[in-house]
Amino acid sequence: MNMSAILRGLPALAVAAFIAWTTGCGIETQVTGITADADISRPDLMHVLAHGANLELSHLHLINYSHFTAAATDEVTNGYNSSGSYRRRAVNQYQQRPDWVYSQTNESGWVAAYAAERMMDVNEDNGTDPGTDPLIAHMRINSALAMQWLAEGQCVACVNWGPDGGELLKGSGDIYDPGNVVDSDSIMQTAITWAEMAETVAQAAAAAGRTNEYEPTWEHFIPENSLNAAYAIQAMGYLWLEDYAKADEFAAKVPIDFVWNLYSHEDNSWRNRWVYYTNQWALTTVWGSAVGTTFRDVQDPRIPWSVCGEYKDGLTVGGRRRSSSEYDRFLENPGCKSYSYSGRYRTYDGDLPNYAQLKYTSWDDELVLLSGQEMKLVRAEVALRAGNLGAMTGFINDVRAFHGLDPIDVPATAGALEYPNAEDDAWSILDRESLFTLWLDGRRYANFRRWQHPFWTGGHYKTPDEALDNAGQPRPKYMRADGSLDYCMPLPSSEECNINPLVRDTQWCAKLYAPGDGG
Amino acid sequence: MALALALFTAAPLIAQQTAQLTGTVTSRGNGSPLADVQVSVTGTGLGQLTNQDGRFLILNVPVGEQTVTAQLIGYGAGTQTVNVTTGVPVVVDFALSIRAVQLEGMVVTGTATGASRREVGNSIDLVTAEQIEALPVTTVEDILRGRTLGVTVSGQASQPGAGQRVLLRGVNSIQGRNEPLVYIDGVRMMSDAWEGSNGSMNGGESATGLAGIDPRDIERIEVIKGAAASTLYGTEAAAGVIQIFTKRGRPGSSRWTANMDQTLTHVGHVGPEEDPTGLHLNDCTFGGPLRPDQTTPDPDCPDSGSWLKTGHGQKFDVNVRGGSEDVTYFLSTGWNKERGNMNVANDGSSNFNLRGNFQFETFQNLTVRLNTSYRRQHVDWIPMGTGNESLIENITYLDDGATTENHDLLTMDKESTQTIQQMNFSANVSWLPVDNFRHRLNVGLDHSNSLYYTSRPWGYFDDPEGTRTRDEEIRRYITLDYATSFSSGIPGLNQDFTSVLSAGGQYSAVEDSGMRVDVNTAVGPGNWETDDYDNITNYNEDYSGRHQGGFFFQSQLGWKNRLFLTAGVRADSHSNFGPELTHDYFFLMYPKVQATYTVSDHSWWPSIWETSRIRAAYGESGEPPPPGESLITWRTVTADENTLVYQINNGGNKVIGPEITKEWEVGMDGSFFLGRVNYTATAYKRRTEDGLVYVWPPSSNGLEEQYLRNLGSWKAKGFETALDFLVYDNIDVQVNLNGRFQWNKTTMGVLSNDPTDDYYVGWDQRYKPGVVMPAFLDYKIQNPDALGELPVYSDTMEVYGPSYPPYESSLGLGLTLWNRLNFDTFFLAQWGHILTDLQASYMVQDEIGWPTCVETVAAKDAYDAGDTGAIANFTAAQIARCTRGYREDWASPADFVRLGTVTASYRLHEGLVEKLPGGFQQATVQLQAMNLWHWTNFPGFHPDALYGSAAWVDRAAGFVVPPPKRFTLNVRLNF
Repeated sequence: MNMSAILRGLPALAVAAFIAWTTGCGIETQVTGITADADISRPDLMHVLAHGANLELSHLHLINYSHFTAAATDEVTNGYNSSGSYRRRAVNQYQQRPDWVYSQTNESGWVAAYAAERMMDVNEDNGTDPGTDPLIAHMRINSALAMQWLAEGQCVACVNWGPDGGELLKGSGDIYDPGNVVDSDSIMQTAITWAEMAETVAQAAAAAGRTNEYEPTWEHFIPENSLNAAYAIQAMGYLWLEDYAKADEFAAKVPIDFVWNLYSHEDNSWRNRWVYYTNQWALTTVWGSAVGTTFRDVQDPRIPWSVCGEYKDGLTVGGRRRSSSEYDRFLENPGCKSYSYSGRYRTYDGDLPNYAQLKYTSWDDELVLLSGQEMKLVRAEVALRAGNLGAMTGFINDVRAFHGLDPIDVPATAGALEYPNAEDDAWSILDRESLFTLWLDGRRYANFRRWQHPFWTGGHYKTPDEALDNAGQPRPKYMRADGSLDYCMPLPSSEECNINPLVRDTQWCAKLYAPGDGG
Repeated sequence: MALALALFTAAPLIAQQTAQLTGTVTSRGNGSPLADVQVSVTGTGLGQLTNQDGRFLILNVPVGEQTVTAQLIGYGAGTQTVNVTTGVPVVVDFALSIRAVQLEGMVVTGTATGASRREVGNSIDLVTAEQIEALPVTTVEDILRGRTLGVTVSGQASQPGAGQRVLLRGVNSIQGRNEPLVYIDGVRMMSDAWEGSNGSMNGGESATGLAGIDPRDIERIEVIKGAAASTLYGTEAAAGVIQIFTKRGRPGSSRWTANMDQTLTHVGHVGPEEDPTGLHLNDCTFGGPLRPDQTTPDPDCPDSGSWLKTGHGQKFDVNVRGGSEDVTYFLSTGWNKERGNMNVANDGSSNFNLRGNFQFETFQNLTVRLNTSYRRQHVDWIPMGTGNESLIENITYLDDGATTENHDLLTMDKESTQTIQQMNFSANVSWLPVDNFRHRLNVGLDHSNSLYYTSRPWGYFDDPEGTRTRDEEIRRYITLDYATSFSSGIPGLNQDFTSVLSAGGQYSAVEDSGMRVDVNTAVGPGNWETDDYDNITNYNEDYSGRHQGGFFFQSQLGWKNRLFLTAGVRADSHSNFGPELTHDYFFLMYPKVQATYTVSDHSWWPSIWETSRIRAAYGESGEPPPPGESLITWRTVTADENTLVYQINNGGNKVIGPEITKEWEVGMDGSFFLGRVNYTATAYKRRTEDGLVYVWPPSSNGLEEQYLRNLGSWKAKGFETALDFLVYDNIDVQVNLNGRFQWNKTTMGVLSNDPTDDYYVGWDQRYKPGVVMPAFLDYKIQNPDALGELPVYSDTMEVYGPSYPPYESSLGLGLTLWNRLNFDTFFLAQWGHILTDLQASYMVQDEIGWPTCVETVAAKDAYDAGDTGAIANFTAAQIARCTRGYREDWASPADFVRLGTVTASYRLHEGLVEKLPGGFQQATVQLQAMNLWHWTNFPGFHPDALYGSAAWVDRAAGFVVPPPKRFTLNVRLNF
């Protein structure tokens, strides 16, 4: 090729080089209004990322889980127009809220795992040891909590670890085992695995005296707190798996004053959903629940509530919509003055008298996710199962003493769990103390499943009225085809069974329930 | 051309046994001289191009009988036989006729050189300047409607300044673009509907970039349809490409052309004939059938007694072209203003445009063209559409409108104006270092912005506090396009075999940015400014910038100029692709294969069928995902105790890629009877794979929002044919008939990961697997014709039919008398689709009533009161329409035939023109009319008065002014 030919081809080479440069070297779509993934991989933003992962848990627990599980465990009564079916434990495939919980639990799990992976990279880039990073320990706790709640709630579940089966996460193998349907025991085992990982990092962080330099005193970034949380999750996990010795072992490591709160709420309406539901809408009421009926006259600081309205005829059950003139009003009582609508003496749908809960009254009140008190109850159950009623009573009295209450006597017998609770047998006492201690925190659904709680076998219907809907038809409408009832949440229909090919045609997605009847 | 002009100006050389041949080529009918016509003497290898005066000179023509042919793209070839005598100059003049079906000529294909049609395996439609000059059109959309195969223009604009949606071969994408890319002088331009000018603002009519081009600046338009043709254009070209070339200067003295247009527009009767008030638009002096008790005019009824008036538009433009052999120029400027047909103040559109095109040939074998244009458009939109603030809704809703005490003019207190500016610059460099090696480089920028301003003043009836919205958008397209071609024989084979190797690379960047501010309670009399930020209720900034780049390589093998085989591949990358999609190879490949064979070149081919070519093409093209879909993004949230929080916003799709459209097309072109009959026919089959559809992730993915995935697929098939028949042709009379027919069926395949899904487009139109897309889909009356029965609806949704017309046909008839007087008529028909009538549906649902429903409603009322026989004479469908009035009740076939255009033009006698002051050379007077007549079986408002036709895929009629009849007087002067 002579020089002339080369010169003639130069334009082609020059333009080709330019285009190769523009197209091949980092052309990127630019869009405003977003923060790109790569932009947040900085040491000074990792604690911000951790708060974001916490927000996912907040959404899960505050918006959904604690609310409808509290109805399912007789802690509150919902008006029939606001998912009263949850109270009747009629969680079916078609309901939106359990679907949200299912989805949000999964998101809480993988977002925390994704954050932890980024934190490891940032540590390595920054020359620090990811094995001692308290933020990573904290993120492991979040993933473990998500798996724990998923196990406690679901009959079975799929865990995908994010979009497209964990595509975002680098790891593979057991820890990110996506897709296939697994039972609740397997999910709980995964929760324990994550908790063990949290324990390892938290111990190392505590030993190294490492804190997050940007928020060194924030309680969840303190390694010792993460360590207690890891113990608590493992205690709950082993209790679920009926390894009572290990459950007791881990529960014993948690001090009674340990509390792992929910926090990082987005704005007022979501900061504390119980405050929102109570003060803004009165969607739920203590009326008709165990606290409002069986324990109506119990004075216990763990279950504060207030009467805002009553049926004039003194009936204690609903069954028909009352006119406003059929209510006595007690609006001067605490907690009855801040509603945003005029009917604050009754629930928002106008069906039920409003008994306002007073446990959560401020936007800044934070729900308890893990606590040393619950660990005492775990130990009490382990002792009860071992027939050691004295030890059981001791653990319960530890909790009562923590709240300034008088101790109770050792019951004569273990008995059988009765509902409403009996006064003199150990199982009923444990159930009652659990109700009082864990009230409105969404922690009793697991107990109900493990104990085959009598509230779930029909005992919750206070009168025949409550067993019937407004049309006089038996509730719930959606029993399984064989007439039995589930004690766990099914796979949601619309966005799991219809879409996920791994479960679409399995027994878990068979349409066992008749749709309809939101209330 | 330079050589031709040099010879033309040189002293004649008369050689032994030869003579010179001279003449002029003009356009038949308007008599305009035609430049760049290839005039050749058959069998001698002699030929020349005409100059800008249409003149040519061919030297050394051998004596004897010679056949001389004149050919120009867009025109039928002219052939004459002359007897050449030694040394005696021969004069041969040609008057070429515009032909609707083109069989020869050069077209663009994306390579460095144009290609002869006989080399191209796909169909390309073409419209030339001369065709455009004869049309009473105001926009490019009007030019394309019915005159180009495979093109569907949805609806007709009714407000001045509005554009329409253009589709090539039907719907091509669900989430991506359906409109073709538009290149002007090789540079991509903003051609779509402007955002912000949507239905909520002005009744669903939008200004478009395409409608802003002055048709008189256009030299030709090439329509490149489908993936088989647009492969070399790469990603984003799956919906086709429209190439627009503006006029260029030619060497010679300055030649001026001035046009003056005066236009009157008139809307005839609106709505059902049974209503003399025309829904109160035609006559607002009494109540009509819907308000029989009203005998007085509506409070704001204009003095004329009608809400409609005759619209007036005028346009003035002038251009000049000329230059030397080294530098040529084309300069043009124009201004037009048009008022619409509503009898209100402050409506209409004005447009100013300026263009300067220059061509430099100062270096040997190097041509540089610089093209610049600027336009400014201002539109005063009338508040139309649905809603309280709509003028047309308040008028047609009579005293049940939203305005205070039926004062409908209160709606005009709202001001909606839009100002658009667009600047386009392109440089085209062509270098031919050796005869068979060409480089071509196009570089350009298209910059446009739109300022949309809406104000509701203090005291405005629907919002007394007043509001103001300022919505500004900026679009910028940058194009860099290089290509090279090398032509040669094939080593080892004889000269029957030829080869053209082409390669090139393209880069384009598209930037969209915008800012919108909404202000409340800040607008007072005479106060148009605010510094009170508390009153800003919405502030929004947007920006997206995306980049595309790629290379192509193509090889074409020819045999005897008869058979051509072409294979090529386009390698493409796009910044919207997921990073892992192109991780291994970086580029995606779009292949193409074509073959053409001109069978009529064989000696055995019957002479009566003088040309016949068969062709086949396969190609792929793509449509990219929207910006940002591949990105993992985060949003910031302020959480408890002012904690800053990052929350994941989009999980990102690292493997998201383009929709891949694969298309086959086969076709044939030919002519009979000495070129009197030209035909073309094409059948195509298209399949889009990896279609971008929004899917719900399984809940176990932990995302509660739909995201885009390459899961969809859909397919299309169609047929297009055109025939051009020169029925009669002698020196004084020429009669031409041409017709087109096209059919398209696009069917949804896989829509999402949930087989039960359908996708709601709007107004009951949906995409649904196995159904034509989009289809009108809803519950259907099972007993429509049953008398005396109430309507019974299906339990599930049923398909009514396609909402886009699958069939479209046009028929043109041209008559030329004495090469001076032209008549041209053009009919357009669309059929086979379903359209719903929003106007009727909403008026019935809102209990205003509908003129044809008065008796039905009374009967139904009697039936409801217990007279079960009252509805005996009414069908279930009538009862449904008149008493229920849902959109599905008013959905019906909307077939129509329209007398689209009628044109009469007369070229004044040259002797008369020369006597006029001003030194004019030619003067032509045209009378043009549009929409003179139509027939339809659509029972509602109007089959072509579509709400939101430029901006929305879904189609529905009503709440816009029906397309008016247009009458234009055009005077064109050349000097």
